[in-house]
Amino acid sequence: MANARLPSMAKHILPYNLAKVSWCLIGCALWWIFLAVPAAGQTLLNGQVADAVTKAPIPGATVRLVKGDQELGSASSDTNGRFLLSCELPRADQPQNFTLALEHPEFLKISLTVQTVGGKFTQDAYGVQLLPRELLHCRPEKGHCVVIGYFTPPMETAYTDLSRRIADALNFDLLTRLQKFHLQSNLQPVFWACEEAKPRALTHGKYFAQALKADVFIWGNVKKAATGVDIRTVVSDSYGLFELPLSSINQNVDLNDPLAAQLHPETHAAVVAALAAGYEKEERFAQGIEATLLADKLLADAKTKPPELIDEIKKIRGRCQARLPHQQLLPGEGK
Amino acid sequence: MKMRAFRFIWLWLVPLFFGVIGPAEAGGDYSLEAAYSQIMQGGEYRRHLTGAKHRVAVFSFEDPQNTGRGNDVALLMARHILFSNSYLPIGVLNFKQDLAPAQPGDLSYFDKVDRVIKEEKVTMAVWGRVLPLGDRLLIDTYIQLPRETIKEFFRLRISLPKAMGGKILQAHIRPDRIHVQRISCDVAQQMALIDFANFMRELRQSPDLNSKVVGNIPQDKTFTIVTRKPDWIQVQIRGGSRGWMPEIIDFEGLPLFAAASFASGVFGFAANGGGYVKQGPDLTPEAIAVADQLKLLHGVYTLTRDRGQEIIRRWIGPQRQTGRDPSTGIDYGEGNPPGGAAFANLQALALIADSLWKCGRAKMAGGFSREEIKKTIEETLSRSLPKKEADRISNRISKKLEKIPANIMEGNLDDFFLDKIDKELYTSVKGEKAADLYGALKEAVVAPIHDGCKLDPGYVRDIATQLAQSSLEDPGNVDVLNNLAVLFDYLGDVERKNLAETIAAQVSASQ
Repeated sequence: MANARLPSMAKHILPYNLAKVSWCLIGCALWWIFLAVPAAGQTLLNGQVADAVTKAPIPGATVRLVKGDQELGSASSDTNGRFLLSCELPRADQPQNFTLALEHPEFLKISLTVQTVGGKFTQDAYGVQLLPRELLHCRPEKGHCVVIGYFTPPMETAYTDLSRRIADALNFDLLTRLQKFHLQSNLQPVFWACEEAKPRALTHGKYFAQALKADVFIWGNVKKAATGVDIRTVVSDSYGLFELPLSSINQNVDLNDPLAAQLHPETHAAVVAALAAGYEKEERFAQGIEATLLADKLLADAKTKPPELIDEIKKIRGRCQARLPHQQLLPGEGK
Repeated sequence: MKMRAFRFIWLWLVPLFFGVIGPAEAGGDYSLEAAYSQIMQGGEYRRHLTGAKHRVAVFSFEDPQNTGRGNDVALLMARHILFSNSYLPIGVLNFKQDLAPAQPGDLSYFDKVDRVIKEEKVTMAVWGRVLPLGDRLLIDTYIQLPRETIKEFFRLRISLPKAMGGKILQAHIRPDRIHVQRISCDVAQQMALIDFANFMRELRQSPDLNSKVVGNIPQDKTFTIVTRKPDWIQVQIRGGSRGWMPEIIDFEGLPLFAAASFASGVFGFAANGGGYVKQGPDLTPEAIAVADQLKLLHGVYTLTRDRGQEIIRRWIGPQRQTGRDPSTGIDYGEGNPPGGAAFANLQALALIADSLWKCGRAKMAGGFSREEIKKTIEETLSRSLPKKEADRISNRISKKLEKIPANIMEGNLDDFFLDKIDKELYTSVKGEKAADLYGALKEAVVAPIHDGCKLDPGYVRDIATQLAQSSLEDPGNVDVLNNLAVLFDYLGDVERKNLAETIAAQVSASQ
């Protein structure tokens, strides 16, 4: 029955809609041609902008391409964070550098250098991440860094400054140990409290570490306990050492007692292991080895010794030893 | 409050006999910030207590919760070091204020102490932290030895025979930044600490616990030890009064005593050119390792004999001791030994020295004249000492030489030097000069026997391989790298010799 009805409906509908559809198609084609095919002398730059911590796309970010004082083109990111910027580039056979500047009221401005060769951008698409504005003061300008973020409080208890107190405790607990093997001052980590850094998911810890260019990001929560509070500490690193963040709990502590800010030895070991990974990345292999030996010593005092951490420490040390020039002093290791 | 005073009867009698009581003195409350600012501004640094030959800087212990115990602990440390070594011309400098970084990234702790003590040219520094945790007090104690102190006082050298190149193998103690102790004091121990510290600040009219207290030693004043009686010393405050205080160096019931004793022992080792550093269950594995290394640094004899080998085996190899010894309570830690490749390096020196000794002994089997030896000793000493002193010491050595039977002489000339001349020199001629004279005597008498000794290259290569392996675990150990350069030089391995020297230079420059 449906089939019998269709031809008469088709006779009535199709001619009208076919025309409409055809015009739509032609219009779309023209639109695409207009936008996608640059006019003579025009180049397209495409990319996507996202939140450095949550990885969520950022709509409404302003994107500008600049050369010196001259703005060559601008665009806005869409709901998916994507942008397509059309610009007229000066003719040049040599590679040229331009500045791509992105801004959004809720994020910190960023500028990056993009290059063209033969009038075309060297990358098909540019992925850019913006740091939320509230994290402006969340790390020192340079150097190794451990950021201590927010600790979610229990509803009933008011407390102040746990991040800073943990940073102060780590200053003594770890800096003294790192200085014992004469780690140069420019390689020593700064322990930086940042209450504004509030992860909303376990994976965010790693993204915070990467976004803030920190070796380690520590955060956690505070819960009411039978006596005092339980403080859960979660450690994430920039280097992918830990598949899941490392977690430990200080139980039944008085928040006013300095004990509340003392982290467990396995947490210290995890922090130092991440620093070792950072030194390895910078090809400072001697320092990497020293840091892994320190991490081992710290783990020796720990009640729980995560096997994945022990394993990673050994691997870092093995890789660093393999790259040391001292390796050539062994027999059979010819130059 | 129960006290027990340690009697140094022979110590104060000997200086009285010779008319010498070491002008030991202590100065108080120098501002660390002022010292540090002076250094950062550049220009000439004004040192403190420059009249003392050996100086130690004691810093107020970090006290982030402002318990007041930081000053008390520092005071007890300073008093212990002073009283334990008061027969020597020593100075104890007391610094106050924080070592924690004022801003993230500022110089702090060991680095900050290093900066100040380098300018002050002190022999040793002591610092630490006190932290209340619940009703307990956590106390961490550190000592820090400047590079110059390590080079001068905490080293062992072995000269290779001329046939092997004549170069020097050496070992220095490691680490130089030592975590000596961590203790957790209960309430009773905290009260005892406060009482002792207050007691040690009081000056009395006469050497009697019942005598009137005439005042406290102001924290910012320097005082000098004037005289002593059994269990008491009299001090003179510079520009102030004079009074008596008990010569207490055992804080009974306080495990802090172990850290103070260790610090005093290490300082005494430097000031005396040797000595004994007490070990115990209240010290960290690191402190125990340093104390063991100091035993080995006494001389090649200790290093190569059973006692030395037993010490080395505690730390490296299949018989590595771990955890607490049930009989002594001493904690040897786990895993890699403190000091990195320090024990591996000492073992390399021990193996070489032992082989050279056996080689020398074989050569001495024919025996040689006592008269020749006596003459060589006289000539060597007279080149370095005034005639009267040279004659006195060589006569004493010769008398000892006379008592050794001929058959023992043939086999044990080296032992004789290592044992008897060593002690004789350090009693008569202290410190660095004794070490130089010992080396000269050994060079003159023993070396001609050893100079022809040449070890099997295969054996030396095995030692070098083990040492090179240890350098992978302790890449910053310059002794290991320098020693490898010497060994590779003997083996004719120019490439590895040059590489070891290059790496050693790079590591030294970076430290």
